[in-house]
Amino acid sequence: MGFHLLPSHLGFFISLVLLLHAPVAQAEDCPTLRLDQKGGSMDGVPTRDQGDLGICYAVVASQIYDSWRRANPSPADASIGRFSSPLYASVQSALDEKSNKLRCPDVKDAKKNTYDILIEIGHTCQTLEQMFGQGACSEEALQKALWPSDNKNKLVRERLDAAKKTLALDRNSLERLRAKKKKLPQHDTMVSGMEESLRNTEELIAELQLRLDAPGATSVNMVRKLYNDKLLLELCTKWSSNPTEDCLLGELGAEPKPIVNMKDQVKTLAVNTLSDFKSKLDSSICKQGGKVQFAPGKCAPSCQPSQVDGKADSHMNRIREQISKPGNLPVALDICSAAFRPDGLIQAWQAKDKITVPANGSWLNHPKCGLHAVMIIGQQKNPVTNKCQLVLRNSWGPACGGSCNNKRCSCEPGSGNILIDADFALTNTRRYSVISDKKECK
Amino acid sequence: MSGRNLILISSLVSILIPVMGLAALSETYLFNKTQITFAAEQDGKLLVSQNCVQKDKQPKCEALLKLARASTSGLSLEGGANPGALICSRIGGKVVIGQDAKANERAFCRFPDSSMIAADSILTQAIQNDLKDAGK
Repeated sequence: MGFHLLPSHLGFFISLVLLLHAPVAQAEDCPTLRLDQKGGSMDGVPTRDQGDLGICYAVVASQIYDSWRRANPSPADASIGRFSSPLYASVQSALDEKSNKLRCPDVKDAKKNTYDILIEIGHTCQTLEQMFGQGACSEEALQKALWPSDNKNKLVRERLDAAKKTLALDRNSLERLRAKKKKLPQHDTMVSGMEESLRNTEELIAELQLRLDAPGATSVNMVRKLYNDKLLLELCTKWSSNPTEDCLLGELGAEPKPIVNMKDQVKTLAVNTLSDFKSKLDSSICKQGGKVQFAPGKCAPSCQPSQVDGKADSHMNRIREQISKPGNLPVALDICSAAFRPDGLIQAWQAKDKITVPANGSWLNHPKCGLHAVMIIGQQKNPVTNKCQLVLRNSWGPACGGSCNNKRCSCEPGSGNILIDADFALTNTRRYSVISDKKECK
Repeated sequence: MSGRNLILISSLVSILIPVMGLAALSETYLFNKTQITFAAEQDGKLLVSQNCVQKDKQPKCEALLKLARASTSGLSLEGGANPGALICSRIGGKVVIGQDAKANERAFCRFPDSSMIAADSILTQAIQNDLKDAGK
């Protein structure tokens, strides 16, 4: 009798294959822990991609906030199934609602330009504490809110038509000007001026066309880009003598007039942009169906950062304790992203930028460190090096093209998680932060 | 069924699974309400929008043409931004974020001719360009 592969057999065989491919035994000192698998607080939490925005700290804060809500479900939290928006969290973190000023992170060494506890314009614990205090807005709601309405599209279309007419007229004028055999006074200046005008109109048309044709995410990203993290970083650090009190109203008199004026203008623009962005969302979509309204009040957990020093074992033990205890939560990590760049990129840096790869494996004091906030969401044994490796949730999407691909560091396709040997990771870590419940609330 | 047959069949299944269904040639992402299909090109190294794929022709879409300019040199990588997305704006594109069926986000680079390419594909190509430039 011949054997026919029936669908009912398939499941069995797949299970068998998976079983055969599974590790035979786990190292005793590195039991597999995965918060992103069934029953874990990160199970089903999608991977984010921060695109070209420097909001990794807010991605980490929003995912830890969601993870905590899932691990501590409350009847008061009707929004348990929603995921909070990192962009909203980053804006909320940057804006002091009471004073309507920018709220700068605690940059103690701003004058020395050492952002040892700062990643771009914020950091994880500060953002997280604000989320626990004020709640959040869901990413889904934000996407919907930022989708351009038909009316907006109509306006864009009208502007596009007008720009195309202008372009046609300008081209015509330019051709006629060029065709004149006898040059007019200032002929060359006029031609170059018109050429520049043409280029500007062409750029405007391309921009408008893009807006009109674009899927919603383009519009979403345009608004996201208004929150100019790099500019805010400069406002909070380089342009201020006292960033902790008021990053924007530093010693104005000490600087030349033009810079003062620019600083004032940029300050107003930044605050207005952020306030406008947030208040519109707060009064509409975030207030209605999109609010991730869970602020646990007095029993909000605290976020405790620790600088990584030489005591690797004690740090590792604390991290393991956090991810393995009941109601396990991810651990926030500020790490040099150079540690998990693709080998090809390191080679390209060596070849083009003439960098030297650190012999001790630590990029911490290297200009290419690229300090980046990620989360530890598990640990497992690295079958290649036989060491314990950390599972890091990154925010560069589920693909692995931009991540490491060597023995001590690899990437999981489909999630984009970084699998990195724990000792190597800690060598490249500036600090980590754990979440803990207040004693009186335990 | 003998144990030997079982091993043979399980081996066969382990080979067939990727061949039958999991060797993805195209991927679909959602941009709010718009679904866009992408094709894996160059042995899966580049993920480009279908409107960019022209069989037996030289690439004409901007997403592929602009790749020749992609480079990682001088890129500021502080703040954890997706490096491919940072290169995107340098070569004339705009970053857009799509979602897959599991709501995972992925950054793409969109060009004025509406062609798109995954941000990680840009980085891959930028690295290749840099190494080629350096004679590696």
